[in-house]
Amino acid sequence: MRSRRPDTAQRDSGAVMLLAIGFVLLVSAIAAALAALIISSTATGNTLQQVRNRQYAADAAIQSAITKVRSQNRATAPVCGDVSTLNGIAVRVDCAYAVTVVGNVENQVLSQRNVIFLACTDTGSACDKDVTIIRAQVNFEQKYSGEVTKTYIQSWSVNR
Amino acid sequence: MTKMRDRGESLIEVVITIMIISVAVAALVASLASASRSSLSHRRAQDTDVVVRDYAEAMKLSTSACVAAAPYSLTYTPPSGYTLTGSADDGLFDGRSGICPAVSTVQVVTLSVEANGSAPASIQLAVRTP
Repeated sequence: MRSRRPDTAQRDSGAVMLLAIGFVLLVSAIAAALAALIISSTATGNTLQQVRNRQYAADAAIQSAITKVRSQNRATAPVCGDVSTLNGIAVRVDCAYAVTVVGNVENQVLSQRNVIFLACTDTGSACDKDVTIIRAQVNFEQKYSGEVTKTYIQSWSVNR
Repeated sequence: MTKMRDRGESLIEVVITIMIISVAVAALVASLASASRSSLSHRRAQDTDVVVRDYAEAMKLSTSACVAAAPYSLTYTPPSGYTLTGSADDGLFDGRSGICPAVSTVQVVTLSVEANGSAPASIQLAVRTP
């Protein structure tokens, strides 16, 4: 009776090498996944930092714009459109009147000087609502003489 | 003869296989170590980022009722291991307390947070008198 061992051994020859190559491929896939994880988490961290810097830059730009509008003549439309750079990001602020009226205790109608501010990353053109980082509506409380006594933030929405 | 040849091939295969697997395992261990270091570094960076945000929000809260030329102070206490520093463009803020700006101007404040084993984080914001 002939033994089948030599045939089997010949057929199995190289199988271990194939297994090893398979193992190497598996390890390579795991290493590649880990590398992708590191790259992804680095990118996520950077993105979050950019968003934070952008939001605080927009916040600061609107604070500056409020200060500027405060001293402007109430008889004319507010003038904004300034670009300021903070946290390494250039932010533009546009503004417009949002005229409203309220009634006082004597039911007299009083005009309110409200201004809407839009802050966006500067692209050289006016802020569009789709790219606005912060939209704020501010009320300027003022005396009859025109002097602003206090400012009130009526709304403050951070969009992106 | 066949048996002897098979034995020899098998031995060479096993030796080469062990070498390949060793290289692969070494690469895997190095990758895991690198991923672990990277994860720790990111966690520290995010922790520092959270502290600098808290510091900035405390600053905004402290100055929300500012009166021109009046003093203000921060009540924020960072977690242990973090050091806070701050300055203003007009020199009227020392990291803990300051003087409110005039109504016609804003105070640009730079806040920084440092922690052991982590890169410092800083942020700029503007303070005004309402």
